[in-house]
Amino acid sequence: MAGLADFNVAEKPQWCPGCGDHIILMGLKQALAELDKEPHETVVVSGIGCGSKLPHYIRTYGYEGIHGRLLPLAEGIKLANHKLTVVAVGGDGDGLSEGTNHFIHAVRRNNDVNYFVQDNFIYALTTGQVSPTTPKGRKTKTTLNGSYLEPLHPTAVALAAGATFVAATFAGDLMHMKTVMKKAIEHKGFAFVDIYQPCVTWNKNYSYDWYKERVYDLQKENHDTSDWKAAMDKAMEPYRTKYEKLPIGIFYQTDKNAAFYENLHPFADGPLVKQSFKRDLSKDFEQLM
Amino acid sequence: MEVVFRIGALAGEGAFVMGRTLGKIFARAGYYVNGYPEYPSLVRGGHNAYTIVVSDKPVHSPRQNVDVLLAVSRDALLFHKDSLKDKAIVFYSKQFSTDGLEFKPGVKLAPLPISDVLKEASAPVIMKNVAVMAAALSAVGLPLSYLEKVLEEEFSRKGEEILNLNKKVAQLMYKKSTEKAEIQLKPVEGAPKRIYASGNEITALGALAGGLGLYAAYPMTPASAVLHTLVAKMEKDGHNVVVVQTEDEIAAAQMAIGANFAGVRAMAGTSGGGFALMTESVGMAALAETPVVFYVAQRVGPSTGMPTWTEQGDLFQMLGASQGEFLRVILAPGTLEQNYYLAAGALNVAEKWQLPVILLSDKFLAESHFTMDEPKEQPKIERGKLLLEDQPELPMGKRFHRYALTEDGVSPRIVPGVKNGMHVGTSYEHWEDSFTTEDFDMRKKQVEKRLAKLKGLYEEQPKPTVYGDGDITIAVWGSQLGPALDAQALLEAEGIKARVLHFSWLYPLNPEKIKAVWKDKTIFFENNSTGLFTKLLFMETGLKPEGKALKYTGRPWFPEEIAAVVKDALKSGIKAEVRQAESFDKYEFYTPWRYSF
Ligand code: SF4
Repeated sequence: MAGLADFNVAEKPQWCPGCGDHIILMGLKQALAELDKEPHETVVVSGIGCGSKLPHYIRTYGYEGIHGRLLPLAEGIKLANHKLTVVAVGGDGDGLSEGTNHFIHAVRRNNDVNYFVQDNFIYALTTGQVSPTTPKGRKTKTTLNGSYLEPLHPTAVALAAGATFVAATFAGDLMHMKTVMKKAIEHKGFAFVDIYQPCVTWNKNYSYDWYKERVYDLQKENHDTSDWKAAMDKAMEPYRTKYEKLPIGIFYQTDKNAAFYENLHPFADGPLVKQSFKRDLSKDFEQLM
Repeated sequence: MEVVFRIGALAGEGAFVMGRTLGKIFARAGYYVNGYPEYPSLVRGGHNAYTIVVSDKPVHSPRQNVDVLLAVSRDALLFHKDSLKDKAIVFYSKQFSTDGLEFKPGVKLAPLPISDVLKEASAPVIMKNVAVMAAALSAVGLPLSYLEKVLEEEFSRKGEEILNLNKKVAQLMYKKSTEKAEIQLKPVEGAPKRIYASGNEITALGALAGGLGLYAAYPMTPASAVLHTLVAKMEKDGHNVVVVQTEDEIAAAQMAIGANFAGVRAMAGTSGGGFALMTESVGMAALAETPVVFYVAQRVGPSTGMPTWTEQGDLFQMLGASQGEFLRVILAPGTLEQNYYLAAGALNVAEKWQLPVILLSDKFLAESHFTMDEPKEQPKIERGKLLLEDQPELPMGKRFHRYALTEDGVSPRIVPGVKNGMHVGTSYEHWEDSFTTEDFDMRKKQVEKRLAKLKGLYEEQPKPTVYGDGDITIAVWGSQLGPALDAQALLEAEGIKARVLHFSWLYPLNPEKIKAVWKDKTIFFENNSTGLFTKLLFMETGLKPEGKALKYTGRPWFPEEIAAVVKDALKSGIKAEVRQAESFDKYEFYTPWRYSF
């Protein structure tokens, strides 16, 4: 059985000291180890961005793909072998701007993939441009007088698209993050977790303290995770309160929808990768005669 | 002995169902058949045509001129009257007026009492197509039982009553239609059972035979039928292939790459426009050395162009897709058999050499129907350096050397689920163990490792195929093989010997293998306006044909046109460049309402 150390790599992560990604990496390793996942049966998939370097810092199988396209890539891996644990990690620019189309449709497909967004409200690797989750009024390299667009609400988008697991967490609270990640990984179907990730270099305004003053745990309130409307209400709370209140925890979860692999018969015979593809096509040719 | 039929109808009137059915019937009667559909990008309101060539010798392409016209709609009389052979028969409903239409003197007009037959059988108007098909069979003397059998297969599910009604209509018309073609098509004794299918359908089956596990695509003409066929194989015929219709082509490409990374043979399919979206993924697969196959059926571009017509205009798009320099393989089938074996072969090449492979077809080959014998050989499945067994334990903190430097450029590949193979498939330059690097020496080595595959690919590449012999060479690539072979036969009938040279492996090109079959006096026929392959050939081999002949009207080369270019070259020398105008039935399918008559 694998332990935490089995997920370590020799290389040290090269994120800025204090970057939330360090803690996200730790949370993910702990979540996987505590769930008894084996490194060789786990695949961590990413796109491009600061946080997308993560697959190199965890000793599982991984794929660092291209900007915004991590979800269909992760889904392809999952379809090839649906017994694998597949985690997709990427930033808000990657997944909520370039990859929004995939995000919505990955939610709809409900493939059993876990999607953890390192949401730092900014484009970090490209040095500080506005992102789809940048709060209104925030000055960035491309909004010199402050962002004039309404931000996108990731948890609300996921809920509207019909997600079966929607949560948020905060990189400054390792315990909480790990717990949510574990719940997400255990969920059958697509699991979306929006992670508030402080970027200490390009978004100094949103420091750990700034978040700490605002986040509160839904599971410590009387929140009903089976109530979609209540979840939507919570998903919109940051925007309603001008970021004074940031709910974290599980917003919504349901097991009513089939996971993608439950819809199609080939998966009933086990992972595709284990199947023999020697086929007798004589009947198929017969149809064409 | 050859009879050419053409069905003309309004869009939505069933020209293709009729065409396909008749094609299948003639194939069952033991003939070689080609069926070629033409249609505008409209569901209703345009004109549709389907040309069927029936022959006792192999046929590979359509013909311009027809023996039997089946005018389901009145506009079909106008659209196709100029391509009637001297003694052609024209079947049409007797309710259509032929006022204002002039036919050649020898043409036999054969108005059909369709409404009378429907009335007599108390059948609905929708059954008029059955009546027309019966007239076609009657004209060439093929027993009605062939049509009845198809009707039984088609309609027995819908109940005795509907089946009998259809049969009654067929029987009545078979008797009432008295016009006979000069050539009669009796069933061929002892002919083998043949497949009658489209390039798309056979590509799907070839991929299945080649071990395809996942197909991802976004619908796009003319590649969609691969998606439809494979969905039917999964949902109706019980094959364990997973087919996903994705939100866009980018997702399709990524999903296919993901599945391949995890050890399942996967393909993404589209046309040029969709492939433009897949472009970035091509480079990702190349750098990460994840095998993947793209099926691309070209249509007329750029942009929306003429979406339902055919062209070979996307070759350089395939060649240049994605930033950076890297190897890819481009294959272009020319026949159904090649569709079958190359679909399977593309999956092999992708896995053996761990790179992107593009299987390049076009509307003409993808959507036309041809007869083919059932493949005798099961395609071989070659997976190259794929490790599926657990590996020895790795030192703590270390990864598997997925990108190990090797002589042939191919590193051992391992997939998730296999013990001690942990590594990252990566779009970033990397060390042998897959960790990101910007080290100058390692960069140089990894570039060279990937390029080293060229040597193996040069060996893997087959020689271009030569058909027949002669003083002059008709050179073609991909789908234009069919028209070239039929042109060769046309010339042969006039005592002219021409050689056909066909390229189905388009890139990379091993100069030695091409020089071995190259001859002077070559005319390269391409279905595009700039001679793309001719340029590529010169770039890669320094070889240059004496002449290039280009056609880019939206239709394929017709054998008659190729033969005329060859004859002219023999008479007055090979012209450096021929630009072929469309030479028959020039009415525009998109806007039949333009023509009042
Ligand atoms: S720039 Fe921001 S997101 Fe990137 S590593 Fe530094 S702190 Fe983290």
